[in-house]
Amino acid sequence: MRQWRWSSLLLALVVTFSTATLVGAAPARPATGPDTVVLFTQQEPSCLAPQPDSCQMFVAEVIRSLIFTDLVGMTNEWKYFPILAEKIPNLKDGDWKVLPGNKMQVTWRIKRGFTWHDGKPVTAQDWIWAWRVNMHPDFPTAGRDVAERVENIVAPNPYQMTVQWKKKYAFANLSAAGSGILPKHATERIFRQNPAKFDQAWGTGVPTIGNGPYVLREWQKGSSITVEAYPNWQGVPPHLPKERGVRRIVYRFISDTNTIIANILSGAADAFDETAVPFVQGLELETRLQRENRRDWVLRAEPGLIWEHIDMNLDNVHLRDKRVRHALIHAINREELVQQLFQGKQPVSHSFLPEKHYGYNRNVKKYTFDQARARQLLAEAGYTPGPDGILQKGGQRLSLRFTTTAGNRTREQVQQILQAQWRAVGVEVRIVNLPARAYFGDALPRRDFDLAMYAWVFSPTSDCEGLYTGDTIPTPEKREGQNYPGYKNDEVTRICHAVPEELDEGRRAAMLRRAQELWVEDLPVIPLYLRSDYTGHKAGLQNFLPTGSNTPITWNAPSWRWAR
Amino acid sequence: MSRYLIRRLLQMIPLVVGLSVLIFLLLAAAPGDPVDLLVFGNPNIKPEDVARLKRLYGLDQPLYIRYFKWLWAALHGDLGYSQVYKVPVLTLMWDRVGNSLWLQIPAFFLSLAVAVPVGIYSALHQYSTADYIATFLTFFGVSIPAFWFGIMMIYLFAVWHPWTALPGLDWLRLPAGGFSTPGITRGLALYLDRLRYMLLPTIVLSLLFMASYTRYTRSSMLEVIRQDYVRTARAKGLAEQVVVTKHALKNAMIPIVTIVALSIPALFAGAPLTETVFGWPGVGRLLVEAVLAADFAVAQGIIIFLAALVIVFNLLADIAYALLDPRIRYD
Repeated sequence: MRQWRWSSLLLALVVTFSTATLVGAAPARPATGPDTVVLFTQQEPSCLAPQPDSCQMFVAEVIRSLIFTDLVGMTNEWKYFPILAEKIPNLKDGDWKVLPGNKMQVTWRIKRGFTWHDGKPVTAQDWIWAWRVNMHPDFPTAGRDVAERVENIVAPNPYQMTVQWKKKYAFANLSAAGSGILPKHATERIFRQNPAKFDQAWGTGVPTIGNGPYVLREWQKGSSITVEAYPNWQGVPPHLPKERGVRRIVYRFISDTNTIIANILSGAADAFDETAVPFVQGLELETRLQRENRRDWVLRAEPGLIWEHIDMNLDNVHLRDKRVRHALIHAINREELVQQLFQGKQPVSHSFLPEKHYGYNRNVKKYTFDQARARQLLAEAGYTPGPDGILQKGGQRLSLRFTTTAGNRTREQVQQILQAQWRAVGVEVRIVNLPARAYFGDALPRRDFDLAMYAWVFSPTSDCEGLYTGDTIPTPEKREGQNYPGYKNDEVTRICHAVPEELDEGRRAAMLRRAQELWVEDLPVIPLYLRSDYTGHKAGLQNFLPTGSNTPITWNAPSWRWAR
Repeated sequence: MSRYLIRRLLQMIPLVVGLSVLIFLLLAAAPGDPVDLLVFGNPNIKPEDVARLKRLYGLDQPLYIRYFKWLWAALHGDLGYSQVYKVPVLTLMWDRVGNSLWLQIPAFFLSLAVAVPVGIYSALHQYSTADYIATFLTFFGVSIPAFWFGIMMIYLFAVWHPWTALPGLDWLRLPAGGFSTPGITRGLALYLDRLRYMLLPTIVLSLLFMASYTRYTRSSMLEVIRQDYVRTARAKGLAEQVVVTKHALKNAMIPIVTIVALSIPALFAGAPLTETVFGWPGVGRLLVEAVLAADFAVAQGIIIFLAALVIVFNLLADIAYALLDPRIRYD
């Protein structure tokens, strides 16, 4: 009898726990309520002011786009739309003019009725002020690439401003002066007290006065940020409606990926953005959810603008020869690599621009995996097998030092695969990795590598100026410029310098296509793949749309809503 | 004793200054500064902007000038600004130390409350089944990595929690990390909410303390109960309870008190792994993040603060030792 009771109890527990496990999957309902979305992310922003460098981490941009808004926005399909501007200026309508001496002027008309969160109207003076702040010599920013092109901004009335440009600039109709917007009435006194410490004095907590659809309500440092719907928000349908589906958005900061995943699985998170779960863990999570047949979460891997590649140092005695560079790319199977490591969700790249970019050259030469061709090219270049199977020429072994950031599991896996494939054609590759700080702070600027694997972060308006222009090669004495391979092609240099000043998008795209054609033929860099970012949300949350660009997922937060 | 104290206090000054030089040099020796890290990845930043920023942050000055500037400010109570958090280092540090203590103090007392009785029982019943179980559990506690145990606890209590299917046990579904529920900022609700978030990290942390304190208590007690004066007390016919509490325990506690005193600075240091796994904004996690983000002022401030604490508590432990053990005298 006693034995029967114990076994019954055990059975009951097993049944209860197994049922609990089956139904234990987090339901697709909101974690805290139908008017709230709770997001988890790894990083916490330092500050939310639009311009200082220290406030430029991506997660700051994610939260800033809830609190601030500007003249023009971009959709998930990379289409621009006016937010605070009545329309986007263009050459045809005459509100964007080219003046004698290669100068330009762009006239913006600003919508009325939009206010700062303290009720003061948003006027042209707020953009002018933001530009002046950005250009102040003591202001801690390096992001003046666009602002420096502006000569002056004049505002004949509070709802109109004319931006005078020193020279032609292709993207002059996407922002007033590349400096964002600042509430002049709330920041002028603080800024003038100490311009160098403005980023420490404003935008680091509540209240941070913005002009966007949400108000910063609470910032628990190290823990969370809460924003709530701004009641006087005018709305810009369809993406930024006046009536918001969710009235409160909570960002919680957890630096450990496993803990974020636990929160996703437990249902404490409603969604996560690009900064929360690295690709590999995202892939594992997606696989797990599929395996468990859970339909309460929707995960998406969106190829973005982070480009993984291998720079080849063109000062290296072997890599100087184009045939060796071509042999190296033919010797590796990039398609197989992305299939095996990333289930094909991080696509192979063939150029320095991503496929979504307006200037991408679809017909660019694509190097296929062909080890016979690689051997042939190396033989043509004068290499013969040495006693240990490694090729050599003039007594010098074809041995290359391959560097990347130590501790990056994905890059280290890629290195090992490539090392084996290169070994198969007689090229020795020695892996010498460095911690990220030493790598980016020292080794790359000194061009101390033969092969260097890392990533560049692009934007939809990026081009090749600075990266592949012959006059931006850093030297050991002068570590300036970011052309780390040391690539020099006069035509590419000329095109890359001219692109930012070409106003016609069609012609600009044609120029970029030509630059890619030359670059791919010269091949100073082995393009590897475009990194994808995982985002995810509970199945009941609608309109959660990643952009695959530097426009954060919060771009359309006012249209997020929970399905009834 | 007073001369000894004055001598020790005077010795602390060059020690702390020497440490500050060492820490400053170590952090400065790491390649790359905050501007280098900021610039990397952004092809649009021009060299002249990099130079301007380095000038603005004083990173273009020689190392010794940077050190003396820092030292001068530190002597005036200014440890600098956090490049990441945009607040004075001291403010940030105190907040985070406070958060760490929320975890560390309960974990510390919980572990003592369990470890001392278990250690005593284990010693008094050496080689019994209970002793073997206690020994096994302490080795488990010492050997298990905190981050793994933390993740397992999160999985069990926040993700799986099969018991919540049973009536009345829903409260045992705990948060998978974090510090508090956003929106709850004051009153009793805040403390009750905080308690739920504290539970798992406190258990993980206390297990680590508990294991080592149990081992120390057991071995110290084993040593004492074999002493002649304990045998004499038993021979006198004293009750076992009196022998244990009055004669054995009092003496066995001397090394335990020293170890406990020496571990107090660690309470202020936070627990980097546990805090990271549970997303707890403590000083341990702050230190790790500051080093990774090249937030030198914060890293330096925390390390020097902790070093000073270790020095002070070493001194206090020496004094406590003298007070507890009449055989020790400082002249």
